[in-house]
Parts: sequence; structure tokens; C-alpha cells
Amino acid sequence: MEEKYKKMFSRVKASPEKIQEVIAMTESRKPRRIVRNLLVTAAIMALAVLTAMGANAASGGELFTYVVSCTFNGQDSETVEYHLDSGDVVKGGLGSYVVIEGEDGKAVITYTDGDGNEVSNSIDAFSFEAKTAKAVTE
Amino acid sequence: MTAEEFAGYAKRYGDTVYRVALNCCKNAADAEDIMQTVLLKLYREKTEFDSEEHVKRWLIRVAVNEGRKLRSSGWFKRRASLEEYAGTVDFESPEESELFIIVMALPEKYRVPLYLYYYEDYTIKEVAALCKLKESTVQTRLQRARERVKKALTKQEEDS
Repeated sequence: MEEKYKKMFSRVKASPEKIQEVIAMTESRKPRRIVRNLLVTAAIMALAVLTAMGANAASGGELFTYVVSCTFNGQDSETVEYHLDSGDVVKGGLGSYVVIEGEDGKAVITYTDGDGNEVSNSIDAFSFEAKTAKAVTE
Repeated sequence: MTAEEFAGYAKRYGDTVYRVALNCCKNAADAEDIMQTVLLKLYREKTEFDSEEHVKRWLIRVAVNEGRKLRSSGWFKRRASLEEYAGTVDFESPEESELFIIVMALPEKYRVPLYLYYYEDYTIKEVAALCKLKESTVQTRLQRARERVKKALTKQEEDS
């Protein structure tokens, strides 16, 4: 069975167009600034969650793109772009970080660690200063 | 990770991620979405990978996670006929296509360990780590999956 199984699955392949699509997405993307601290990003996004949730409620659940820039330690800045879908799930630019509202109303960030495991942390205890925040209807 | 490095990984492991995703969600369109999501996550990942194998295991692990997430979400709705999909795959013989249908008819909890063990040649210990299961659970699932496939193949032979 082992040999037949291997032979059979070797025929099952992803569409080369879909793989090429992903490669094209990354090639057309400008190199991103390295985030010095994941929690800083998380904190930025926590602010974005709160801002976006309010705006989304006001818009009647319309899909928005939000861009939040933040100054950290007076020099580093990072722009986080994400989509707000249903009012409770927010994704980072390419979907690496997901911020959701926890059961207790706190923001919870979920990300993938070096072993590919999903890690969730509550991020209510971080402070930051947001420079700009704007919402753009898609 | 540079765009060139990423393109290399995407070409080398795109099929692996797709097959794992297909075993998770049993649907080609969802599997392609998962493959793209997982590859994009790799591109953004800041982890310093120790080796090519580390990258591959990371991709498989994230694909399993994404598959589970999709299954538990309301988005797991799209259902296309598996027979229809099998018709689009370049199988060498009708027997191969039938084996595919039999394997995909197994419950999801059997499909992924079976694929990682038989196709990717991971050990039971490695499969357990990739699926976040106990080794004894993997062993039992592999045994039951083998029995079910054998039974289905025998029945098919008898029917024909």
C-alpha cells in the first residue's frame, strides 16, 4: 500500500499559477522595516483594534483598510496595514499577526512561533503613542 | 528572507503544503487558499531557520494549524465533489484515482498522519510533533487508517 499511496499522492499538485501568484505578491512588495519588538507591533495593533472597532460600528460593518503609524522611542516607526472584516478580527499586512477581542474584552494577539505553533498572548499592559491613524474604505 | 529565497521555498514546498492542506480540509479551493496563506506567513516570518528541514516542518505545522482553523470556522463551507476533483488530477490509472477517493473518504484525523508518515516519510515521533498528538495516538490512527483502506480496497475488488 505504501508504494501505491506515494505514487498516487505524487500526482496531486498545487496549481503552479497559485504558487506563482504568491511569489509575485512578495516580489512586488517593498522590503518592510524590521519590527524591533513584536509586542510593540501588538500594541500598535491593539490601538488599531479599538480605533477600527469604533469606526466599523459607525460604518455599519463596512470593510475598511486601516493604516496606523507609530513612533516608538522617538525614532523607530512602523506602519501596520490591516483589514477589519466582521468587527472582531483584525489581520496584519500579510496576515502574520491576528488580533482578536478576548472573552474578557482584552485584545489578544495570536502569532506563529519558530516551530510553527500558534501562540496567543493578552496585550493589555503596553503603552505606546500613535502618530496617525486613518481609515480608508476599500 | 529575500524574495529569491522565498521563491525557492515556495516552489520546493508549495506542493507539500497544498497536499497537507488538502488532507486537512478535503477541498481543492480551500487547500489552495491555505497554501497561499501559509507561504505568505513564511515570507513575513522573522525566525532564523536552522535548516531547509526546519523550514519544511514549520510550513507543515502552520498548514495543519490553518486547516484546523478553517475547519472550525464558518468559512468551511465550500464543498466540491471529490470525484470531480480527482478527474482533474493526472492519475496514471483508475486504480490510483480510486485509492485517492478511498483515502480522502477517511476521517480527517487519519488523513494527515497517514500523509506525513507514508508520503513525507516522517517517523511516528515526528508526525506526533507536527500534529501535536501523542505518539500512541498517531500509532493507533495509522493502524486504523491502514485497516480501513485495506477493507475498502478489498470491498472494491470484490464488487468489481
